Amino acid sequence: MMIQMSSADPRPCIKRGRESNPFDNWEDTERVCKLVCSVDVRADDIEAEPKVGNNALQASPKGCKDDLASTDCSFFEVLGVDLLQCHILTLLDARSLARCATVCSRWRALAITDKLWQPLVAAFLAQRAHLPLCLLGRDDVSSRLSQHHLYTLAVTESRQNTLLPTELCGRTWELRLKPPCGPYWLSFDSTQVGKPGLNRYFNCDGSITCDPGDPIWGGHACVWEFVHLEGQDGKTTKHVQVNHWPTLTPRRVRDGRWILENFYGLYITRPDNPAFTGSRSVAKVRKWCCSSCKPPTFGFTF
Amino acid sequence: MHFQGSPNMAEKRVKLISSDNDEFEVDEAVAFESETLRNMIQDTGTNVPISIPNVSSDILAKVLEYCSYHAETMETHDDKPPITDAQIREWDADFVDVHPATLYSLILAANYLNIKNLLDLICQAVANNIRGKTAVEIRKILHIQDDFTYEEEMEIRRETKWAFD
Repeated sequence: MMIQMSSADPRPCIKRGRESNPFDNWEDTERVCKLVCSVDVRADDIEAEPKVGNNALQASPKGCKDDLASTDCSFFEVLGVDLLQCHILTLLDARSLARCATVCSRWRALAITDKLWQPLVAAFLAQRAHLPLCLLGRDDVSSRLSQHHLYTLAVTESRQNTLLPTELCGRTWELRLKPPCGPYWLSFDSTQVGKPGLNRYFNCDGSITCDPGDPIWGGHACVWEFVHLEGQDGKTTKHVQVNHWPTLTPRRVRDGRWILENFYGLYITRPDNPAFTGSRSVAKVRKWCCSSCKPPTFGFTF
Repeated sequence: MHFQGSPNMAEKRVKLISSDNDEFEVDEAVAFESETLRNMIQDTGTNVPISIPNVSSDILAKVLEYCSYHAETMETHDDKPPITDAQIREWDADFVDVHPATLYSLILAANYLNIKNLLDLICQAVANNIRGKTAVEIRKILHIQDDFTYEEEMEIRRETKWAFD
């Protein structure tokens, strides 16, 4: 690849947009550089370099400054597409890359390509127990979205810390019991001996169901509802009440699983993301029981 | 003007001419750090000065400084202890601690001369400069004009909110 870098023949800088850049003045930019990157060129340091005996090096900071200022070229024009995309943007983390995509339209075009985002999506999803509900069982949707959108969707979903009814009804929950239940009930909880526990399904009509042949499923109706409790600090928090049992407090763990917990036991969501579970089994995708159960798409339209 | 590479290495010397018509003379081993120069030398030999029309003298001097240091680290001397990886990393870190404008010129030179390690080193330094900065900071540092319309900007901000929290 051959790039012209002669300062006498600058490639024109494309300018669009509504106002001039207040940082057109390179002096300002240079000051910012010093502040932000703590880059400080000291000519005497370069001079002190033992092996270099010519004058050329000493001229470098000023000479380069003039080059850029006189051509009024952006970093983009100076470096070229290939170098920026293939050599620099590939080194960035998702957060920094997403920020680069907001710099200007040309950076955006470079920074949102699937090639850059595909490994980031893969790495992110590998540590998430759940796929966003709107993508669960919807390979048609996932394959249509760009990798950048997929990442944005997944990361936005991962930041939801309020348990929504769709989340409760869309996931498969595993029941785990705690010692205060007593040895009789604990003996039914196979997670105590390292085996998969019993599945519970919350439904949007307020019922809870289980798999056929469940050993502790009684003859009574099993129901759930959200209850709002006022804490000691005066704040209202959302809890889940199952039957007449003590209310369960929802929380989310690092890998994205939800937990509903009280003194006697807990429900924990079963991972449904194959990339997370690896060879272990994933929860079956639940069917939406009604249109009000439609999962949120976080502002995306599919 | 002559660039003094490290003495007592290979006997063959190579003459390089920068875009400012300055002449640099280095050991062949130093020039061989560059794939482009290696190919040229293998084609034309060391008798003819090699013209590098798109690299200025100050940048070429910097590049050759890098090449001669790294060519030297390959050498083994009986009387001197070998240069450790930590020392090389420290030297490299000092080397890229320059004005951003110099860095960009160096990237172009390293790309043209095809010196992979130098290119990787500088790209890493530029990436480090960008990492963790907001869009406004990146625009300031890199002298970039924001060309989004108001509507585009709002849409992008809404979608990218997660990256700015």
